[in-house]
Parts: sequence; C-alpha cells; structure tokens
Amino acid sequence: MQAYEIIEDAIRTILTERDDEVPQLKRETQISASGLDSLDIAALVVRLEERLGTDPFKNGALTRFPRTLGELAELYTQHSGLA
Amino acid sequence: MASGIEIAAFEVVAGGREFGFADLAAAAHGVDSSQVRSVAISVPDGPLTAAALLWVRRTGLNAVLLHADLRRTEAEALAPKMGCSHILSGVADGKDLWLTLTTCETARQYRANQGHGLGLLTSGTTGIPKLVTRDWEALERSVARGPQWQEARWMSLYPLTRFAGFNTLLHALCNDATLIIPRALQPSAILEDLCETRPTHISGTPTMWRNLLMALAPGTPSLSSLRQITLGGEAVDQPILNALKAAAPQARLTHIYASTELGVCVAVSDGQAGFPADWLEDNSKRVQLRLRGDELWVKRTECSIGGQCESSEEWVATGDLAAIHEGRVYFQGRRSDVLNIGGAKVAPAEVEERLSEVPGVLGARVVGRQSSIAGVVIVAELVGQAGTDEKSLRAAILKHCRACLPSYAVPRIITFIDSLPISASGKILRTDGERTNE
Repeated sequence: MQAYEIIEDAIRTILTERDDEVPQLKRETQISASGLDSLDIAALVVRLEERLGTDPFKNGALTRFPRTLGELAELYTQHSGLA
Repeated sequence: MASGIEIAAFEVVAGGREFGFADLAAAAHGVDSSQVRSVAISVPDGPLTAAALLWVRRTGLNAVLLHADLRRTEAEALAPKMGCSHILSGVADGKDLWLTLTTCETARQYRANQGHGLGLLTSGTTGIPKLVTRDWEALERSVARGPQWQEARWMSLYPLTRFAGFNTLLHALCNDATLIIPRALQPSAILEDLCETRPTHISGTPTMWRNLLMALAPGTPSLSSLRQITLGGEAVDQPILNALKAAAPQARLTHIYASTELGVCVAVSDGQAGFPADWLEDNSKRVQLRLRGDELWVKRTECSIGGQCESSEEWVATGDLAAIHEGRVYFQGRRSDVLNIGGAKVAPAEVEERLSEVPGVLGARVVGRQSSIAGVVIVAELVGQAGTDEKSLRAAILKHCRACLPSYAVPRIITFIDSLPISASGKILRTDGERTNE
C-alpha cells in the first residue's frame, strides 16, 4: 500500500471508530478539513510511525508543514522510502 | 530491650513449606550480636525476612530493612550510609534457614543510634531511597490485636521489605498468627497458592487484583477462604471494589491510603471508593487530612518516627491528587503522573476508572505518548474480557469516554494488551522506556 492509501485508511479508522462521519477524502483535501482535530492529528502521526516505521516530524528537520493529505503522503514517502 | 508482646506461635508458610516459630528462631543460632551497633537486613524476600526481623526484635538492636531486590554490592554500599555497622544476610535451603552477620567494610564513624528502631526504605524509584525509622514499640502499638486474629492467616502480595508488605508481616507477628508468602507474584502462581494455603487476610494493590481477577476462572474457589481483603498503594476505584465484592462476597473489603513515612492515614471499609469528606476536618485522627487545591496534605499528630518529632507539626504535601464529589473525597493519582495535554491536565487514574466502567474492560492503563507535533497523546492500553470483539469494545469505550470526559482527556489511541504491567511494589507501571511522558 502506498503512503497516501495508508494515511487515508488511518483517518477513516479514527473517524469510524467513534461514529463520526467520514468526509470525502482526496489528495487535495486540506488536513484541517479531514475531520480530525489537532489531537487526532498527533495520534495519526503516532499511528503512522507504527505502520510506516518513521516520523518525519521528529527532530525538527521539517521546513514546511504539509497542508493537504497529498503533501502529508509525500512527506512520508520521502522519509520511509515507500513508492 | 526486647518488645513486650509475647510471640510463640507465629509461623510462616512459603513455597509449600511451614516454618514454625522454632525454625525461624533457629535461623539466628550462633549469630553474635555483641559487637553490633546497628544492622542492615539484606535477605531474600521470604521466611528469612521474618527470621531476621524476629532476631532484631529479640536482640533489641537498631536495624534497617533493605529492599530484597538490592544486589549484594548495592547493599554493602548502602548499609554504612544508613549508619549500620553490620549486614545480616541469609541463605535458605529447603526448610533450613541460616542468618549470617558480616561487618561493613567501609570505615567511618557510625551514628550513635539510640533506642530500638526499625528503618524502612521508601519505595522512591529515583536516587537513594529515604530512610524512615520507627520505634519497635510504636510499630507494635499500631497493630490491632485480639484473640479473633490468632487463627488468622495473612498473605502479602507485596514484597515484605516494602512498607505495605512489612505491615502485613507485622500484623501476623503481633497476633502470633500465620504469614503466607506467595511463591511468585505471577497471577497464576498466586491463585494456586490461594487454593493451597487458604489465607483469611490478604493485602495487595488494585493493579494486582485486576490481574488476579483476569486470571481467575469463573466458579473456582480460590477466594473462598478470604475474610478480609485490603487494597492500597494506588487509587482504588469503584469498578475494582465491585468486582472484588462479586468475586469474594464473604470478605470485608478495606482500602487504605498509607505511606512509609506516615503509616496508614485513611482506611475505608464501606465498599465505596474514596472516603467521607468530613474526615478532612476531623482533628481527632492520628493523621490529619486537608485538601489544598487539588492535592491532599497530611499532618502527623503523633511522633511515630523514633526520636524525630520536629516534622510532626508540619503539613506535608503528599503529591496525591484528590477531588470532592457528593460528599466523598476521591483520589486521582499522583501529581507526577498527570499528563499535560495542550495545557490541560489529565489524571491517568481518572481516565482509567472511566475505561473500567465499560462492560468488557477488565483492566486499563493510560499513558501519555510523546508526539512530535502536539505534545502528548493519550494512549489507553486495555485488557478485554476473553471473547470480546475488539472493534465493538473500542466503539463502546469511545462512546462512553466522549460522554463523560472532556474531549482532550479522551484516549486517542486504544490498544489491547494481555495483562497490566506491574512494578516491584505492585503498582501499575507508568513508564515504559521512550514512550513515556517525562
């Protein structure tokens, strides 16, 4: 599975677990419009580290914070070596 | 200067063997106390602990009870720092017990110890543990005694060298009764020991009981001998009291709030979590209690520490959080365990209690996991009832938590584990390497 699919799956899991409606998710979807609050996003990063073995937000190497799900996926792709 | 209570029938049951009073006394045969000023007891947890304590009680020596899990080299380093001239160590071989006395090699001026005191070490996990010394007479006075307890069989689920475990030993000793030491602290081993040794009185932490109840097969008679169950060491919540009441309906349930420094401060036996709020204003108690802000403060009104009364007039912050709700004071865990979620404070014990209220949840641990982008994320680790569907349990938990907790306190990650991780003193472990919130 590619980074984007894994991220979308993780977001769906978080939202469906608590019976929240899942908005339409696309690469262009803003992270802030994905239905997650700031604590959910922190939890998402922890979950993604478990699944992808990397946390691109660690160590302050990040120069620009991703805004869309596509940009988030790209960040993980760069760090985890996923295609 | 031996203590007053006459002891003749005290015995220890450990590892399928019975050690009578004569066996325990014989362990110190030939041990010469004449050159000893003060002794550090460094023996494995078990009948040797009782034998060593009987010996220092009889000789009237000052003694410090070192934690049994200290290595020999650590004990040798610590003993002189605690003012001890000698170390009492021991070997057990089946039914035979031997105590041996060795001189501390470090040459230094030993503190002049007066009286007949016993030092216990606090269970602090950082730095050198603090030494709290009490007079033997005062220790023995603190124990309720009576003919009804002479047939009692006390079992400690705590190490005997920690205050809670020592206190259990002291109850068995002062009532000239029986002390049962479990062969191991794994739930399955304890349950076997319960069936074989039939204790009437048992002490342990809520975390230990959660693990025990999870391992208890329905309908087994393991708990049928119990007349008194005492819980302590951690905040006690209503779900564990209810579960114990259901599992051992014949037993009286008491939960205590105690520390090595202050002894037992609060003891509650009405089957309800927390304690009545009017105790906060009760000045007749040996240890007075106040709630200042969200923290419990205590003041000792009697000198229980041998020769050191200067601190007895002071109010002391306990580091334990508490809150009043409908006329009762509820403990909410340690201040140092509190998680900071984006500036809001969350007490793990409170979230654990909410989680335990959900049917299907047998045990819960709440920890903070450091997040790279938002401080701390609350993680709930759960032990579910066998055969429970994790997915529907997860949904039920989130629904319940969102109904009764503020959004920031709702666990964002829920995982399932087999049993609750436990520390040497039987409390739930709140640190697990790099995942901890420090």
